[in-house]
Amino acid sequence: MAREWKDLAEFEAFLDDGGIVEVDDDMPDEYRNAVFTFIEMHANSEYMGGLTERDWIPKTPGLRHKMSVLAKTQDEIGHGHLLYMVAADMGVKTRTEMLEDLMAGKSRFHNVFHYKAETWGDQVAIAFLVDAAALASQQAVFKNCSYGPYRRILKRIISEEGFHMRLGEDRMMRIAQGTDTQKEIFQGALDRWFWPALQLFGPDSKPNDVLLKWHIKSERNEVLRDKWVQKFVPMLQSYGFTVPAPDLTYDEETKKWDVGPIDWEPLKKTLAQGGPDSARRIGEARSNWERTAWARQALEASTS
Amino acid sequence: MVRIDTRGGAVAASLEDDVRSAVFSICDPEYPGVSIVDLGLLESVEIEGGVVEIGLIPTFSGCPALAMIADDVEAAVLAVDGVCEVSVSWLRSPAWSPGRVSVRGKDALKTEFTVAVQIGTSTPECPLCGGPTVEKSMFGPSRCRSVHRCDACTETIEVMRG
Repeated sequence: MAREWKDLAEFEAFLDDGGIVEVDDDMPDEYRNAVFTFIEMHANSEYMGGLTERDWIPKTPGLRHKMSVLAKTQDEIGHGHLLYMVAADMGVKTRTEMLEDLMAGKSRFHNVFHYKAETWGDQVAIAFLVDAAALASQQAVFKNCSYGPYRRILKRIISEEGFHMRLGEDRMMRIAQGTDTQKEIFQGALDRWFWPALQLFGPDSKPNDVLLKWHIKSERNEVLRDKWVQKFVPMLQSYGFTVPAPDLTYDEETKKWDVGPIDWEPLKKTLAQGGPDSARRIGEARSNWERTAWARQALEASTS
Repeated sequence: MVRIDTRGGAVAASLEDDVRSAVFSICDPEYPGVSIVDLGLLESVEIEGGVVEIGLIPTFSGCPALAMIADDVEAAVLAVDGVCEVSVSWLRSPAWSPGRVSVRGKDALKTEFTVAVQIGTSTPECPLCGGPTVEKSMFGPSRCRSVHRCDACTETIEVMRG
């Protein structure tokens, strides 16, 4: 079944033709490593996101929201689980190696999970703005993804993230129609989360981005980011909130919003594990991993 | 459209058909394109005059999509000609089981989402190659799904279970 290509050029022609790579194919190492790193970061992000969501289970107001936070936690951890399996199958690192690298601060996860969620308003902003940004970038990967096992998992993940979006909209509608204090809480959260959510898309794609060339990403970062801006800026304003972009302008001719220059320093810091909450989050994940070692040992003993 | 009740039962049956197809049009929020009826969530439809009572059963009682599904069903049924009042309730019995998923539902889950359905304690088949699968985790992204791996093609799959 395994297919082979005589060189990178032949492999790239296969990809350009819409070819889908499967796990047992003899794919070029460059491709294998690039796809693996991408899936590993996605898995890490789901896992770290799940831990964040979990922190909020006891503090979430009302049964309805609490059920949604519980379910989201299980969703994210479940997505991480599926993605770690798919990544491990690529034979670059084992699942344990990936988790150990994550706990040691050696591998990456999304910038948004390097910040602290201070209030319930932050959770609403995350569910509304960050989940939408994550969903948009995942949809753009799914659309044209050349790696079969990842593409099939993504289809299910996207459907579930779409459901999270509806939950986020529900939370947002409730807080937007709430008391003045609730609106102030959400505005504070918006001030903290608008820029990190926007930066989740990353800086403008480089012309030679291999993820675009090898059909992992289907859209340039700046295009996705702009779509997000065009959707969320007017939506937030229509609910009576202020977009925290001092240089925000609207072009009457193109009918487009422009948030002005973007400071990429905070993103760079998070990628180097130097975000405002990076150390605490990684530390928490590590102590969680250590505390649950007994469960993994018991499982291994029962299956061996 | 005004329905003139000259044939008694026939008109009632046609209203029930319309209500059932309205419910059928609602998809699971996590599986776009798969009807909640094909997933076995619809238990009862009762109609008296223009008043409709829909009884649904959840795959598990802590499912976070319950409010959303009930809202969607209510809106769809209320839009049916001849319906003036709708109440949607989540029933405590019977309990949902994977056996309630229709053939069409199983087929859509398999081909669209590479998800298998486990009946009883049988070994679910891989949606991709039909090979036997092995459970890797009792819990997937939801209480009603476990994570399996195909022995033959190594695909990681999710399995709907009771």
